[in-house]
Amino acid sequence: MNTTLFRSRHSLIASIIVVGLFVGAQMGGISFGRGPYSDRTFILLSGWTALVMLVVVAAYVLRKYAHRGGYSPERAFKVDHASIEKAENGIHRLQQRIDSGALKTPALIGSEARKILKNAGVQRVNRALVEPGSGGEQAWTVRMVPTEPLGRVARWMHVHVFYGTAFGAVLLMHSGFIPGSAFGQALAGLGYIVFITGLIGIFLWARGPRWLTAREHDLSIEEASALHASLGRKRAEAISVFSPQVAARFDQLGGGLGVSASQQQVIIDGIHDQLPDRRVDIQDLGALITQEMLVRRELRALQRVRASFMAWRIIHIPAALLLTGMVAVHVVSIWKF
Amino acid sequence: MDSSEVQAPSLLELPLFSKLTKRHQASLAKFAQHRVFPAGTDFIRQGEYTSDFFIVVSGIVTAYRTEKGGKTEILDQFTGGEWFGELSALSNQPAMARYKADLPCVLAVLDGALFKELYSFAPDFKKQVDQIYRERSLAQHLRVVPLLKGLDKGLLSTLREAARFESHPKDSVIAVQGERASEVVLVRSGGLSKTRKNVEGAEELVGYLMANSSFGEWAFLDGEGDWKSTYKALVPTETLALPIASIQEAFAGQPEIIDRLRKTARLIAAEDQGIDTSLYDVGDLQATDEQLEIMVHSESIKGGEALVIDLEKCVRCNACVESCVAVHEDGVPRLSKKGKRVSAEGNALGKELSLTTSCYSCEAPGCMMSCTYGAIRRDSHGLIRFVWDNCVGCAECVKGCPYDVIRLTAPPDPEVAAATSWVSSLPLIGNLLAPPQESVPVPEADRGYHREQVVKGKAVKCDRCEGLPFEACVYNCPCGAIERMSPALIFDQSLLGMATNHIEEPQ
Repeated sequence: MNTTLFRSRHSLIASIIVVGLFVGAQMGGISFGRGPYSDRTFILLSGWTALVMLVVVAAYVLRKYAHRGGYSPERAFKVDHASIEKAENGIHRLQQRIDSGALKTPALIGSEARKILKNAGVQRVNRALVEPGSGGEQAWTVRMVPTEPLGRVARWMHVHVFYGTAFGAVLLMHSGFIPGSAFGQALAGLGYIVFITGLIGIFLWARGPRWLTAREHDLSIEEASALHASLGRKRAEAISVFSPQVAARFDQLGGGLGVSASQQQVIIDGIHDQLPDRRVDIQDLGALITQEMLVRRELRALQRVRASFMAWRIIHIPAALLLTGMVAVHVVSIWKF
Repeated sequence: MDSSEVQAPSLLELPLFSKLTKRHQASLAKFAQHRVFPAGTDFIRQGEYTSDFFIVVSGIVTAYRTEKGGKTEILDQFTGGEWFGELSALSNQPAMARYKADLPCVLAVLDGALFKELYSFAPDFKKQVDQIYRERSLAQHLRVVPLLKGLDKGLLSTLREAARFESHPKDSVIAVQGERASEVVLVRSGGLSKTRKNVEGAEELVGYLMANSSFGEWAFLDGEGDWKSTYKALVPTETLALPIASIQEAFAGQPEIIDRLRKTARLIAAEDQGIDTSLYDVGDLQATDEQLEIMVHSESIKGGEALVIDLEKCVRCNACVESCVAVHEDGVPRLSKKGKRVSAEGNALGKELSLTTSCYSCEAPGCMMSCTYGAIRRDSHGLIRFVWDNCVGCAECVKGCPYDVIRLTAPPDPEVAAATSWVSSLPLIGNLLAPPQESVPVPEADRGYHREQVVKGKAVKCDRCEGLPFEACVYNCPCGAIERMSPALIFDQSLLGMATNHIEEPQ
């Protein structure tokens, strides 16, 4: 189980915000949402807080897909091989100075390393990591590691999870559970859907990989997928040497899909009778189709397991997109009117 | 390395190259580089990976070696016409000394591929290189043999004449288990497999020996002089055989040294039987039999850093592969999630892991040893880099890689490039609409040592997103499931704490 998902400083920050708003409302005798004891300032404060959280949560999505699409801004930092090699050589020389005892404190080593990286022009791409070495108390090792300027997506995921959860709680306080207007009800309802599917998603993403790993026996889902594609190509290639009529009969086997073993045998026997001199080829092809069928069966089983912990996204993603749009309308309408 | 090219004086006038064939002369004239180094430059550092062979054209170069205790000694000095670097060029192993230009120097440099070509196919060149190696470097090199470790260089120089250089083609058997062993063998380049017969008489792989490894030391013990294993060349391999009788003869008048050698031989024999004597004090893993098997069979033990997926965190969203595609202009992923799976019981982390198909920058890279075009080199820090301009798509590296990490891409199609060039020239949107451009093909006349070769494709593998401020797969995994780490961290129980810290997402 991926427990790192639950260990983040963002959980603390998000909790402080939610608890702060709740305690503030309780101490001021303010009721949530619109009502006789509601407070305009609290509604505005909780509304803006929820909006900021939504923006932060959406930033994760933007960040993730920008990378996958190849539009990450930090790609502009790219440096050439010669600069990297120059920096590496400088760090290597620095390590020799450390080993000879000329530099003894990590602060001094770090400062020297930063100068080397800057001189080589790679300071935006690499940073120096100073770690205790294995040669005793005084030993330090220095090496270059990527700067990762925007932080790993995994960390953004923590932001998404915890501020997303907090968003749901703040939304409850802002709306007073069931708002009066139809638009408000739709907005709150959508928010709850996103919130609840998100909670389910957190649980499934933490647990799901273990289910799939336990189900993968001889083949991983990636291997099954690659093998299935390869067998499909081989089958198509093997069938292509037969005449179109015979190929059509092989197609009846459908790559082993939806055809029972006995039906398959009948079809293959029929082709045998038609082409008695190609018996070995036909048998080989039959074996290939059976193999493809077995792999497909395994692949489908694995895909089902994967779908079981990915399915929540079918509701979560469209609902979240719709919610973002409606929130924008809500904010503009409140601000304008 | 600070250098610049200068007008090359003719290397062919040197005795070393005087008997080369016309073809080799042409290769030398075309591909040997001349570099100048100002006085005081350390152009090779001890421990740095290099595969270049240097000939001093002018100036003086001094080789220094720093021992573990910090003591530095001068190993040798080289002046005009002399050469050095043959050990690293042959073995691809890190330099054993630091080389410094004492005066402004001009050096002729042959890269590893060209050196190996001449060493393999120019007999007079090989003879001269071996002769000088025997005279100048052998005694120092012998100190890597555990049996002879710590012995004075002067003492070892008495063994020079007895040493025998041998070349072994791929798959040739060097020693057979059970046969009489009468020499210590030092691997100079290439690699060997070590197999032993099990109780059923079947050959069982028990390990690998790479450059600078040795075997046969136990033959020094009386009555235990049979080969304990069978050794076979995995790739074309160069060895140096030192007859035990010569060692005994060389130290005959010095009983304290003979006694010391016997003790060491006994420890080596015990280590070979799996008894921990702490003889090998560096880099030994405390691994269980199962882990050792995984490491030996998947060859992880000779790997650099593996890309590891924690299967208990990975949701199989494919973000790693998609990110890999996004940062490479040819749109070909360097990462495949297919790889060796390690059970929770089989590793120090206690988690289901997958060692993904990504370059390990092996200690003895099969790809580099297989490439005869100078298209694969090791950088000074041990990472394997591809020199695309030299690659002709022969696929030898694909066959040579034990991990299947290299794949071939189609060669650049000039027609496609021409057809799409107008799209890419559109203002603002050009870069978005145009498909990724291949690099401009190098004219055949300017390519590698075999320029008659037709380019069939280009080999690609993980380049660790060189030049970018992140490693795309690690950076973009939403679950923090993928991490780069040394195989030693995965398997060594003694490093359990460190390994756990390494894979957990830092907060």
